[in-house]
Amino acid sequence: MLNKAPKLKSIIKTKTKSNINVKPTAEAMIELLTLLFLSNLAEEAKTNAFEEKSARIRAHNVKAVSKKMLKKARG
Amino acid sequence: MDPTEDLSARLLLKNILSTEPLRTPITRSASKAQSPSGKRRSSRLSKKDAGAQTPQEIMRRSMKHKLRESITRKSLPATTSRMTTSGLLRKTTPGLTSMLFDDDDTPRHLLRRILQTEPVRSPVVHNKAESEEPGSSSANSSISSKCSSIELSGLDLPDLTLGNPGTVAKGLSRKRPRRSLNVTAFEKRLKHASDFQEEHEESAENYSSLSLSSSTSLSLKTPFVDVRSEKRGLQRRASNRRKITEEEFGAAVNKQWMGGDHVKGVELNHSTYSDGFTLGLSELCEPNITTDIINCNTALYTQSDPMASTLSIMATQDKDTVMATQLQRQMSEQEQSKLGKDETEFVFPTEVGVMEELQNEQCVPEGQLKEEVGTAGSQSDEEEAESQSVKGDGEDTGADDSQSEKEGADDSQSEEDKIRSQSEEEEAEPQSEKEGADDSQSGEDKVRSQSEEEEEAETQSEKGDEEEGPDDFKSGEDVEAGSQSEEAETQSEKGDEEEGQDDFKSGEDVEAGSQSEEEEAEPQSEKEGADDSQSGEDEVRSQSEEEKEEAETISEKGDGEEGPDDSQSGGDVEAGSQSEELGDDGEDYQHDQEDPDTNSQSEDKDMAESRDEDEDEEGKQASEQLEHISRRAHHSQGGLVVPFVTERGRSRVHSAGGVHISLEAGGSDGSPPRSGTPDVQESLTSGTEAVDCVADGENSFHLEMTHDIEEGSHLSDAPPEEEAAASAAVDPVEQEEEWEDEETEEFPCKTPAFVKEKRNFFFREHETSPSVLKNIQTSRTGEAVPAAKPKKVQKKTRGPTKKQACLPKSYLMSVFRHFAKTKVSPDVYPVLQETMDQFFDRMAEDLETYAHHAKRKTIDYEDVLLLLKRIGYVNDKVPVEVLIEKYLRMDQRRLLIPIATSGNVVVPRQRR
Repeated sequence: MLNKAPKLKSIIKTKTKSNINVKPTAEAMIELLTLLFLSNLAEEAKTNAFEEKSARIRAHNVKAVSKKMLKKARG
Repeated sequence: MDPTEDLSARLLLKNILSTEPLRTPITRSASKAQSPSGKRRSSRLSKKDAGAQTPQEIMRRSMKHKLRESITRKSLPATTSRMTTSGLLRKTTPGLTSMLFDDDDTPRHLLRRILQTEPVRSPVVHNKAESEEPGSSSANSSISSKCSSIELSGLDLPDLTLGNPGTVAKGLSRKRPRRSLNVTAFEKRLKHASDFQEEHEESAENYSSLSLSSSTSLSLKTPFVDVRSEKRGLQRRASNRRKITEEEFGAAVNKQWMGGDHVKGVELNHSTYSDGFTLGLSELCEPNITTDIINCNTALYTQSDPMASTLSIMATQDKDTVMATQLQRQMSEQEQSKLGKDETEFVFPTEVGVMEELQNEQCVPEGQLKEEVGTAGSQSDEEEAESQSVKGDGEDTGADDSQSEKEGADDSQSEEDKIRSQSEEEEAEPQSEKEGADDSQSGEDKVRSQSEEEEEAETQSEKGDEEEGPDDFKSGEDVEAGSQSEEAETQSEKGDEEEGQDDFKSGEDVEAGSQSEEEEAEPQSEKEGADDSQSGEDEVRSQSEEEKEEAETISEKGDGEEGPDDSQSGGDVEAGSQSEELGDDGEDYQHDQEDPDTNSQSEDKDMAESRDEDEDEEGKQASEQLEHISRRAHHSQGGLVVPFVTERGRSRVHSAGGVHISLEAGGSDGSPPRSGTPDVQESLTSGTEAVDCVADGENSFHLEMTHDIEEGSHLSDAPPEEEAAASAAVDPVEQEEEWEDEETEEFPCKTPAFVKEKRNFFFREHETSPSVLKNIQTSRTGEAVPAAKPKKVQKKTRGPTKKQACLPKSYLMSVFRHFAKTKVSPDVYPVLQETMDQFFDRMAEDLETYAHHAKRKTIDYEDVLLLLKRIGYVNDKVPVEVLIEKYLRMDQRRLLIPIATSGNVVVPRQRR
C-alpha cells in the first residue's frame, strides 16, 4: 500500500482483448480492487492456515482458498 | 312526501323549499330529456325561478309550466311520464288536481299546488329514474322497478310509464325489453335477434334520447307495433347510425355466431361491434401474414397471429410461418455454425425439400462465411445427410444436394463446395464405410474429432471416410464435426468424400453419384475394385484438389479405400493403393476397424505419397488431404494454416498432410504417422513406406479417437515421424511428447521439425492463438530445417510468445504479508501469482465489458466502481469513499475524492 503497485496499467492492458485505455482515476480504483482482493485472500488464507494450526501461511493454504476467492471476486 | 294530505303550512312550505331547488334541475333535465320546448321552458322557468321572488309567483309559474309540460309530456313518449310517474310515486295522484288549483291564491292552495306539482317536477325523479335506468345493467330489474314507478305515476299515461321503465332500463340495451314490460316480450325480441335491424334499432334507439324511449313507452301497450313504428321514426333519425351499425353489426353477428351467440341484445351489440372490429383487423392481417410468410418476414406473422386467431387463416399461416421460420433459421444457422446445427436438425425433419432449400441457402451463405457458414451449412447438410442416410431417404436428397453442391462447389466457391461436399461426403462416407465396417468407428471418430479438436475432427472424418467404415451416421457426424470446427471447406470436402463413399456402399448410390464423382468413385472402389472408384475418385480428387476440394478426394480415397488411390496415382505408385486409400481414410476417418489400419493408413499415406510420387493423383490427393489437414489445422489455429498450406503447393502437401494428420490426430498416435506421410510421400516411391506412413497416419487419426494408439505405434514405422509432426501440431501437450519420441525414433521422414513445430504450435495454442500461429508458420518454414528437436523449438516458441504480465514479487509478497499479519512462507508466491493472474484476467474482462457497454474506449472510474459494487465490496453500508480512504495512498485519494481548497477551488476539477 505504501508502495505503488507497479505497472498495473500495463497488466490490464495486456489482459484486455481489445485496445482499450485506462484512465488514471480508474487506475487508482483498480489498485484499490487489487488491494481489496489481496486482503481478503490473505485473510482467508490466514484462517485456513490457522485451522491447520499452523502459524505460517503456506502455499497449499493459499491454493485452497484462492479458488473460492476468485469465484467471489468476479462481476 | 305524502304531504298532499298534510296541508299544514309548514309542511307545504317545506315542500316548496325542498322542491324549489329541485325545480331547476328538473326543468333542465326535463327539458333535455324532452323536446326542446321543454328546455326552453325550463330555461324560462329557471330564469323565472331566479327572478321569482314571491313564492306565489314561483308557484304560479311552476304550475303553469307543469301544465304545459304535462301536456307535452303526454304527447311525447315517456321519459317525462316516467319522471312524472316517479314523482308521482312520492305523491299521490293529485298532480292533475293540483293543476286545477291554479287559481287559488291562498297560500295553502298554492302550497298544495306546489306540492302537487312536485310530481310534475318529476324531472328530478325522472332524472333519477333515468339515471338509474341506464345504470341498471339488467333490463329486467330495471323494468320491474320501472314498472312500479310507472304504475304509480298517475299523471301520465301509464302506458308511457310502462314503456319508460322498460326502455329506460334497457337504455343501453335493446329497446325491446324496455318496451315490453313482459319478459316474454323481451324474449320475443331476443328471438328476433336475427333481426339485426331491430337490434340496431334498439341500439340506435337506446342511444337516442330518452324521448325516443318515451315514445316507445307509449307503445308499450302494443309494444311491438309501437316500437317498430317508433323505430321507424327513430330509424329515420338513427338511419345513419344504423347503417354503420348494421355493417358492423352484421360482421359482429357473424362473429357472434362464430364465437358463440350472445343472446342478449346488449351483449350482442357489444360483441358484434367488437367482433366487427376484429374481423376487419383479421382481414387486414391475413394478407399481411401471407406476404410476410412469403417474404420470410415472420415478424409480422407472429404479430398478426393473435389477430387472426379466430380465423382459420391462422392454421394456414402456421405452416407458412414454420417454413419461414425454418428458412430464417437456416439463414441464421449458417451464420452461426453451432446454432445451425440444432435448427437444421429441426428443420430437417420437417421437410426434406426444405433441406435442399436450406442447403442452397446454406451454400450461399457458406460461401460468404467460410468458417461459420461452412460449418453450419456442412453441419446442417451433414446432419441432414446423416439423418437421411439413416433413414435412407435423406441421403438421396442429400446426395442430390451434395451432387449439386459438389458440382457447384467446384465451380463456385470452394468453401461452399467443401461444405457441401462434406455433407455429401459424409453421406457417402457412411455408405462407403460399410466396407471397412468402420462406419461406426468413423462416425465416432468424427464425433470425437469434433469434441477433441476441430483438427482432429478433420482427420477423423478423413480417416473415417477412408476406412469407410459403415459409420454412415457417425461418419457424417464426424464430418460435420470436423467441418464445423474448421472451415467447413476442407473438412467437408474430405468428409464428404469419405462419407459419400461409405454412403454409396451402404446402398445409396444416388447420393454417391449425385454427390460427386469422387464420392461415387470412392464407394465403388472401396468394395469392388478400388480401381473404378479410384479412377473416379482420382478424377474427383483432381477436381477437388484443383478446386480445393481436397476433402473430396480424400474422402474418395477413403471411400475407394484401396482402389482409388492407385488409379489416381496412375501407376500404383502408391503400390499400396490401399495405402493411399488408407491414407485417405486415415485422414478422413480414423476408423481403425477393418480397413482403417491398413486402408486408412495406406490411403492416407498413399494419398500423401501418391501425390508426391505421382504428383498427379497422389499429389492431388495428398495435397487435398494436406490441404484439408492444413485447413483443419488452420481452423483450429485460426485459418492461417490454410493459406500457408496452399502456398506451399504440392510439395508442401505432404507436409501439410502430415500436419493435418498430426493436427487431426490431435495427439493420437495416428498423428505421427501422418506427419510422416507427407515426408514419406516424398521419399517413398513405393507404397511400402507409404503404407507405413499411411498406417501411421491412420493410426494417428484413430488415435485421436484414442483407441488406436497401438496401431499407430506399430504402424508408425516410417510415418511415425510424420505423424508425430502432424500430431504434434494437432495435439496439445499430451500426445506431442509421445509422438515426438516416436517420430524421432522411427522415422526417416523429413518433417520432424515441422511436426515438432506443429506440436509446439498446438501446445502453445492454449496459451495464445498468435503464438500458435507463429508456431505453425515457423514450423512450416522449419520444415526445411530438419528437426531441431521439438523441445528446443518449444522453448523457443514459448519465450517470445508468452506474455508475462504479473506483479513484481516484492510488491506482491509485501502486500500479502501486510494483510496476512502472520508469517507467510515464501513458497506461496507462485500460487499467489497464478491467482492474481486469473484475477486480473477477470477484472480486465469485466472492465472492458463495462466500458464497452458504455460505448467508451477507455476504462473509467465509473466502470471500476460498478465492478466494486457488483462484487460486493461497496454497498449501502460501505461507500466507496471509505474504501478509498482506507486502502489508497494520498496521491490516489487526491485523484478520486474531491478536496476543497481555498478560494473555492475543488481538486480535482469536477466536470459535473
